Amino acid sequence: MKRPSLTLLGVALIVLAFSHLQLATPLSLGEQWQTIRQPGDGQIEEMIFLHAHLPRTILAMLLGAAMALSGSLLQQLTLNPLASPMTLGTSAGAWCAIVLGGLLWPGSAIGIEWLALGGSLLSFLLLGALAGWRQLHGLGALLAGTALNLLLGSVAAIAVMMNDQYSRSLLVWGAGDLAQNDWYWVHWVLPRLLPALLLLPLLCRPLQLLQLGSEAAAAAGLNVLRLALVGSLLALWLNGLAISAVGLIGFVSLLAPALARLLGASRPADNMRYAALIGSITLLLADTLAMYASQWLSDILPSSAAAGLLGAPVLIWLCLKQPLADGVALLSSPGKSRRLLPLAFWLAAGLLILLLCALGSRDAGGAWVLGWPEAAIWSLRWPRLLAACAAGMGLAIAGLILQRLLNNPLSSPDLLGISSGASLGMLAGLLLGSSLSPWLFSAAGAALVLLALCWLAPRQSPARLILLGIGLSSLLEAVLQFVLAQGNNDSFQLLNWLAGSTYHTTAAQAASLFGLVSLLGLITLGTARVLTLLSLGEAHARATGLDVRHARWVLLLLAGLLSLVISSQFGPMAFIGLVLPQLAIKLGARRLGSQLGLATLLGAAMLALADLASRTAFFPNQLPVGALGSLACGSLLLLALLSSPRSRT
Amino acid sequence: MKIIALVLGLVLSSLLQAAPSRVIALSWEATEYLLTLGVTPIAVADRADYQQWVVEPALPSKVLDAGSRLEPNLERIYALKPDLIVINPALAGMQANLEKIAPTLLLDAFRAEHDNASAAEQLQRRLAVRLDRLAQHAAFVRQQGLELARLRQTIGQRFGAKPPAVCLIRFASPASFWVYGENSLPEAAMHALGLQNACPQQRTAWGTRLRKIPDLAALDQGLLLHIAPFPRQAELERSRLWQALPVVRERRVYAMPPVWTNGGMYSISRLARQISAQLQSSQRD
Repeated sequence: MKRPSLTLLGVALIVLAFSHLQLATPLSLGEQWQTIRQPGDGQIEEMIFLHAHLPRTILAMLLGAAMALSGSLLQQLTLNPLASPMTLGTSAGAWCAIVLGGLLWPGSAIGIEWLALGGSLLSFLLLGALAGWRQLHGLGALLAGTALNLLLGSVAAIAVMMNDQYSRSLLVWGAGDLAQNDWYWVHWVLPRLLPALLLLPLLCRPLQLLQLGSEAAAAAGLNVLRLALVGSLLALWLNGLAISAVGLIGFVSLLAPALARLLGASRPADNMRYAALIGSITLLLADTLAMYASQWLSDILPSSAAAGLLGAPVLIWLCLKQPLADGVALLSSPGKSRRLLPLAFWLAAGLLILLLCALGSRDAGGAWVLGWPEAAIWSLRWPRLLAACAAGMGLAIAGLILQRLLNNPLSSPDLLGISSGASLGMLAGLLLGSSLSPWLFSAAGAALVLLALCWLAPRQSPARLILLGIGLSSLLEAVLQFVLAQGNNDSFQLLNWLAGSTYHTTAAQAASLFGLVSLLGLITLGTARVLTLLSLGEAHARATGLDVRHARWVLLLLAGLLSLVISSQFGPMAFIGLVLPQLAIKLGARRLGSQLGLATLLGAAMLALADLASRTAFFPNQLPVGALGSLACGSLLLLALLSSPRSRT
Repeated sequence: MKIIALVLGLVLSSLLQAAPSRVIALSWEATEYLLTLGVTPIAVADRADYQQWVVEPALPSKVLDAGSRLEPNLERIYALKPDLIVINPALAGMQANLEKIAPTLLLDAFRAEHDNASAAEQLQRRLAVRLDRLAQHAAFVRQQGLELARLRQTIGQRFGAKPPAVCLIRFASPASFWVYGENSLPEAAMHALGLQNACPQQRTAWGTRLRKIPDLAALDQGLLLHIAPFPRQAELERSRLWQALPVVRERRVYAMPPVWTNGGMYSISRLARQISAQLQSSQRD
């Protein structure tokens, strides 16, 4: 494709900025010019133009460029065309840190940009640990990033829900809107962009070398570690600035450098220049859309939601188009794994945990009790306990299927996009305010995605399907922000659901969920031979006369159905389906049958414990079981990573 | 013998139909109704936040916490052996479960289809009937009528036939605010005082809407009352645009003490008192 010149893009930017300014002001062009030339305490319309519109336009351009540069740097450092603060989960880390900082130490002296930088740095380290520093160019990084997004999102959601009145304004602010009242944020951002201006020219040449691959670059005398350190710090800093100034705005950081590359700007210096311009253009365009829509919409459309609505389709298209290394993460590396303890031991341990969870509670005064509950209490407790166990079992089974199917230990059912479909359906149900049960909507949303997946499955490689799921979750985030930005009661009901609550489960729902999960689990056991063959590699499977495409389709459907029945009830639950099958292997269950059994048992026990913690930890307040389960599994994973010294570097 | 049996029967039946005395409120508006009727609930949802955000009517310290309003703690509620649980539509899905513990009463206070202010009166009356507190309810309604009339009269004495219009908001961020329009309790309080809403808004379920600061430029007369506290007040006040707003330049902005806007009749009275107090002080400078 012939590349349009920088001048052309520059002209487009100026035209767009100009039209952005004309959108909401009654002033004529002459009056605008007069206002800019002689700013004074004039008419209110002039003040609005000078102190609301003009800084908004300029901030959109500045932050658009900053986010795009951040994405461009990350993509070049990781050599991953779909890397960005959004897809790697560092934006979520920054946001989580800001939320926790604001709630735990209100009015503290730490600058918000440092919280953002710290949070995103931590989540970046987590990402590296999860996916492996040398695997950041592959699918694994995106999978780990999406899982981190879900996890950190639910941590922030718990914090917000436990302080719901205070958090309302936090939600409105964090939803990512560019509205300005003065030049404060422009003045705030400008000096902080300085490190970027100084460092970026210096980084161009080393980055160019890095394109050869890190070994070759190191052989050519490049200090790869230093480059990675400086580059990623700079990228996180730039994105942290944008989050501190206007809240979460995704997509720009991903799309701008990718589009720049599509236009042919693949050399680092070129890519950054083009990305910066395209980033500014994208954000201005999104903000124009947001301002325009807010004029005739009865509610305010935040800029981030507009960016998401523009960006998500492009992202999905990119996902289908970009070549991407199907990197195998190191998690599965057959390290020392202990011998499997006898089945009887695991069953006994599982039963003990279940019993503990069923009998443990706190009485009216808040004291701990362990004893057989009264019949009425039991009838309140067992549905949610059973539902939690069923969810844990189902997620573990679905995770196992997907990991064997894709040969990737980082794949898990919450990344398939089915839970995003369920969440989107739930949202639609709430927005329509229909008298139908919202669960009907979430099930419909999940089913729709599952149908699309089944239609796509024979045509696309499994890795692409996962990428589509990631695209869909990003779309969900955009729509979500629109609802959360209103900061009203619907926002909280939605957050609650997204955090994976089993609170509203009725006895009939719990029983049927358990029945369905058990049934699908048994079917999975029936496909054990096929799964084992597939996990040995596609060629191997084909050699034995297996219809690989057909088998894949059936297994995907199986995992999808499991994900559907669970996520349409409880929303997304991250990490559980990812960690438990791996944990089963670590505990020695290598054969498929025993892995399936142990993972299922672990799932039931883990979520039963989460249910106990949900009921008792912050008594009398409840915590969402899904979020607790995700947290527990996430920390387990982290512990496992930290305790097993592997040759990573 | 017959007489004794009759008396015994009467005593027994009155005992059986005795008004519930152990009540749990799982929404803040229900908590407000109960306290207004002189009934102390044994537990309410989000007790600590109630004391910070609703403040009045004050919650006696012996009232327990029943968990959050979205997910109250069923086991604690059961253990407290209530004989009535009052909920709002947020918990409608849980009603069947709650019925296993005790009779529940669903009070649907905020809807776009009805008038929230008169709904508040009807719902409080329903609760009063259920709790056998109609006398207290009637007394409160009478006393509220008198108080509102008195406040209205004082305003009339100060301002004559045309008192200034009032715009009531709560800041959400330095760039946006929630404004209370049609069907909100603040507007009901304004109307009860004979005041116009200076920033009318389309009708919604809660009567609130999120708006941007430049929208305040249209407020060329009347008072702007904002509900304190707003933690980022300093960021707002340093803004040139804020300073340039006519309503700010002409010093028509006043901070109201914390007051709850999604309550019931008591909230309307309290809002009316606050608004009228702001109006009185507004004339002095």
